[in-house]
Order: sequence, then structure tokens, then C-alpha cells
Amino acid sequence: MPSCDLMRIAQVTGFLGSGKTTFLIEVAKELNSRGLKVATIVNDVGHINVDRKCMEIHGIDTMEISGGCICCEVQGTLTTTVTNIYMSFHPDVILVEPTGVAIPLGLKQAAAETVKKMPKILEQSPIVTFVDALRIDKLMNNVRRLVETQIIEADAVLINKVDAVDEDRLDRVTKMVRELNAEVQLYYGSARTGKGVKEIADIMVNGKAVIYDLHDAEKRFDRKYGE
Amino acid sequence: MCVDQKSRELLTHRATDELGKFSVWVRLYIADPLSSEQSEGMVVDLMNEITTECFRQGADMIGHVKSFLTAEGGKTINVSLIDMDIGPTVQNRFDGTMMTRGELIVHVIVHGMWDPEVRETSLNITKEFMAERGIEYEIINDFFEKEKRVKD
Repeated sequence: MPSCDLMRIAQVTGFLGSGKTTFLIEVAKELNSRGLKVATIVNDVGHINVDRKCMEIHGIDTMEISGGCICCEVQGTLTTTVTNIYMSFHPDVILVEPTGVAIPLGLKQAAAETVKKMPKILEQSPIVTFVDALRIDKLMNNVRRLVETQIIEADAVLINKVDAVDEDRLDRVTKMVRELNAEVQLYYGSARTGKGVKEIADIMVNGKAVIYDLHDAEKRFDRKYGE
Repeated sequence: MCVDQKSRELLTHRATDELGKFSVWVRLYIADPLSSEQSEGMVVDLMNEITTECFRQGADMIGHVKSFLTAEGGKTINVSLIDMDIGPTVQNRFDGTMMTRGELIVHVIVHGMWDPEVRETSLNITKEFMAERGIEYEIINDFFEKEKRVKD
């Protein structure tokens, strides 16, 4: 765990339906069991928030950001929300779950801005991208560019729902992730079995704090999307 | 290639906006109380019917269709659908509650249709679905995304 004066902001990405909310509920429970105070920020699509309700019925303190996606439309709102949580609740960790269409560059920009405004208070955990092992083929057919970007720009990847797929598929998904991002820390998870929950909780509170070179990330983004 | 910040904002927006999205929050008034199983079946059937109609209208993949039902007394059911072949996942079932009133939130996010069409399809199906079952409802709020903000 970082210094007791520091609060961590831990962001995840992953396409819609990849199991982020369900898994983060288990991560929050795990962190609570370690005596850590956890708050979550959810950024559902639209103003009517289902994910917040799912978190709250598990007793997890949750705030929502509405009016658009953190990564591209309401980046500035993250700073305000994090500040409010810090002032009112002072958690050890804030878990941030953006919409399933968020891309890491936008999250990095939003977090960098927030960290800059709260130096000595806040540090950023590695961004974890969730990959849906069950549905990856369909996603690569329909929203390939978005899913690839989420993997390429991730600090860690969790291949999720591994309890629902066979070994061959798992090998194939692993290979695909490795081809896109050879250096990424790779984990396997299932909220149903609890696999990977402790490991993801560990990197969120103990993983090396990250400071991004946004210039490099922006150049990669421009190459991919600016054609 | 060098992209200025304004152009990058537009590219980011477009990169993350390849799906049609709609959400609605309704209050339900149920004359014949629904058991836990019937309430769950009602939500699952509604989500299936909306999704099926979206596919008929041109959607080619589910992004995420999900719902959250709260009955009087605070009992909840949430249902998630990401693939018709896989079927819905149901969590937090009622136990013994007979529902006469409830609040239901439905999110519909699909690939291959734009927001206004998703909204129209979802509202039309909801209207027919509730009428067939004799369930009265009022819309508390509905919301759909649209191309906005960074366009100009």
C-alpha cells in the first residue's frame, strides 16, 4: 500500500459487458477485507445509472459522473468528483469504472489532470483493461479498433470470464492480447470463482504508481485514428 | 501525422461513439401482483423483445442491454444481456415479494443503429409489451445520446 497520506485512483477499461462492474464489486470487497476504505466512481452511458445501483446494493460508496464519457466528454468532471470524494470520505482507493466505450488515452488525460491538481494527495494505479474471453470474436468483428486500442494502451489486461471458456479459446485470446501488447501485465479472472480478484486488488493498491507520457500516447492515438 | 487537440477530441469522440444508446426509467403499476419468478420473467422478456426488434431494425451486435428493477420494499433484480446466444444473467432475485409497484431502468446499447432509432424501438416495444400484460407505466425519465459537444 502506498504512503498513508496518499490516495490511489485506479481506473479500468473494457468493452461493454466485459464484466467490469461485477468484478469491481469483488475487488472492493477484497480491499475492504484488508481494512482499506474504498469509494467508486461509475460513468454509465446516459444519465440513468444502473451500475451505481448495482454497486450500492453491495454497500459500496459510489458516485456517478453523468452527461457523457469521462474519456472524451466530461474529463474535467473527474477532478471535481475525486476532490469531493477526498474531502468527504478520504478513502484509500477510488475505483473508477468508465463506460465500456472509454479509451485509455482519454482516461490517462483525465487522471493526469486530476493528479496534477492534487499533488502529494493522489497517485494513479496502472490502468487495467478487461477483455471478455467469451465474446472477443464478435467484438473483434464489429468494434475491433476500439477493443484493440483498449488493449494496446493498457498497463495490465485481465482476461475475464475464464470459467466460461475452454483452454483453446483462452490460449487464442492470450495470444491475441500478447500480439497487441507484448509487455502488458496479464491476468485471468472470473467474478464467479473469485479468480484474479486478489491480484487485481494488489496492483490497484501496490502496483507501481504510473505517470504517463501523454505525448507518446497521443502520437499512437493519432496514428491509429487520424487516418 | 500530427493532429491538433480540437481534432483529437473529435476523433476520440467518434472512436468511442460507434454504438446506439438509450436508457429509460419507468414506474410500474401492476394490477395482478407478480411473484419473484414472474417479475424476473417480465424483465427478461422485455429485454429480449427490445433486443430482437433492434436486430430486426439493423443492429448487428449487442453492446450491453441491462436493467435494474426495484420493487416496493427495496427488493431488486438486475438483468444483463450481452449476447442472445448466451442469454441473460440475473442477479439479486426477490424472495417472496409480490410486486404491485416497481421502478425499472432499462439500458439498451447496440451496434449498427443510431441513438434515435434505438430510442424509438425501445419505447415502442415497451408500450406494446406493457399493454399486452395489462401493466400500466409512466416514464420518469428517458435519455438518449446524440452527436454533441465536440462537433463544432
